[in-house]
Amino acid sequence: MLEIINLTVKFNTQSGELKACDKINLSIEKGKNLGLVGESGCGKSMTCLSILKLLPPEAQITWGQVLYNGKNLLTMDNKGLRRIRGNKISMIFQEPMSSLNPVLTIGEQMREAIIAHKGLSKSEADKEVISLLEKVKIDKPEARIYEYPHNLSGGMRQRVMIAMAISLKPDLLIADEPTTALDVTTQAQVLELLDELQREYKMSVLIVSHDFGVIARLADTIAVMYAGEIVEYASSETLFKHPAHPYTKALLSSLKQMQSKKDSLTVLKGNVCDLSNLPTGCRFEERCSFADESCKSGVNKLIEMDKGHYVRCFKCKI
Amino acid sequence: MKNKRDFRKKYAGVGLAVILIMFLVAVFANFIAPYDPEEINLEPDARLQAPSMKHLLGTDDLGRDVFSRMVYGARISLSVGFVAVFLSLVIGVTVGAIAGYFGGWVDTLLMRIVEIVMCFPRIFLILMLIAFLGPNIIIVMAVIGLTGWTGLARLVRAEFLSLKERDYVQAARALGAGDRRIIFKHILPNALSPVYVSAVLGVGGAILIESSLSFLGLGVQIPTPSWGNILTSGMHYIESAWWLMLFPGLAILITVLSYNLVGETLRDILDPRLKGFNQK
Repeated sequence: MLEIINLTVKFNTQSGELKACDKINLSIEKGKNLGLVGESGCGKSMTCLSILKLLPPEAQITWGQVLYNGKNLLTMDNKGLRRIRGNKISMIFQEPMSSLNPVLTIGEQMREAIIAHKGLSKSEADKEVISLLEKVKIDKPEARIYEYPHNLSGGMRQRVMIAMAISLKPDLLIADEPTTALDVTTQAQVLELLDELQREYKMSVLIVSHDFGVIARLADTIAVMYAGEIVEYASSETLFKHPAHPYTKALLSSLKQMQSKKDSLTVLKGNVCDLSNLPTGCRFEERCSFADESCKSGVNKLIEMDKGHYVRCFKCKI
Repeated sequence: MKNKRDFRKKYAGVGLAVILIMFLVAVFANFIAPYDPEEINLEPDARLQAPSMKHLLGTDDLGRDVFSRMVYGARISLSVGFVAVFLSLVIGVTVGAIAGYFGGWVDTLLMRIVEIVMCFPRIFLILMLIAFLGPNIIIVMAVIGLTGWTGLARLVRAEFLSLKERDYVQAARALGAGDRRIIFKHILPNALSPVYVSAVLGVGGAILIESSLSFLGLGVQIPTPSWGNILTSGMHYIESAWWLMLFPGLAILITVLSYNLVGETLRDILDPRLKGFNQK
């Protein structure tokens, strides 16, 4: 349904040009969930924003295609894009605290998209808003529609955001770190809600997170990103059982140790390499415990290790 | 100094009352004024009468009732103030919104225009335009309005520059909202509090400018009364007929003061960050 082909996003900064996304290839099938994992600044959010062409002005998509049912969204005009946004593909953001307009009531902001896309009257739209709020498990929705965002807690605002995002029954919901700003119990509830809604609406969810625990809950396939590249791509089962890339392994091992109550945590040493001054060869080489001299040069390609299991690593030969 | 703030708030209440009374006087001028403001009576006894029960504020050199002229003058002066500020608001908010929202060359172009307009001292620009276009009330309103929007445009632009980066704007765009909807529904309502303040202060300013223009004979033309031209007509009689200048002067002073008091208090209320400044 959605296919991202060779997406490359560049940023013009004062210190020069840097590649936020480097030839990203992803595909999402209808009704399936894709998880995108990686640490801060690895290009996850930029990938998401490119899908709807919502990138900040200093970012540029220099190459690639985003195909939605065969149509390239990147070359589409604004009018066409607006018909897709919210309607076919919608998005929820990281910060529920600031993603709702403080001067509009919950009802007003939710009504807006419904009226604009469906052409309903105000009272019909209100009925729909109330049923949506019920669906995202907000109690007393009849009263909530007259309240302002500051009356709601963070978890409730994120629910409202989700309700807004699904109000037009999109095919794809992009959830960019939907639970990062929430506390742990609320996180679990929101994830559960997303899971339920995904099934009920038969939509696909592109879930982005730096937290494997969050991804594990929802994703059917997982892509791991590092320094603007996809380094591993597999079904979630394969990825958790047989991680191949050293970076994935390191991420997973830090997760596992928390469960085994060991005294110390495995720490992944070093920082992500400078995106404006990328090393030749493998980008993870500096931090990798398996790396040797041969990793420092050559073209590091994504290779298919097993059926449907792709890895970008010189050391993972078939 | 909490007392000082309370003190000011009380004055703002008085200011609001004055504004309201002036507004009602202007609206119901024809019921309040006891005489026709333009009716001339050249009999020697009727001219330059001191204030009395018959003529509350006396009569002027042409025997016209000053109180009636003041009441009708309120209508003219206030409507000039309101219309001019409304015009400034429309232009200023539109220009500021477009410049701030779209940025780039649109922003550069509009802001250079604003700067060019701002280069001229406002009162001289107004005098020049009126000298060209000829003084009449419509032109006075238009000229005051057309020269008063620049500060507002910059204010609104600054608000837009910061507000357009907010998450809820991004979220609205992700849900398919177009530029127009984002500007008017999502950003503008959040950008309005400094606009309210500036509008209230602007009305006071516009009334003052209209009075100055009328005083110079370039504003509202006699026989139509405005506070400024009543003041002028009294100028020659200041030694014998003090009431001719005192009352219009007081009216202008009190009205402008009221607008400023209300405007500044409104700013304190809408922008709590500035509170510290008043406590010094």
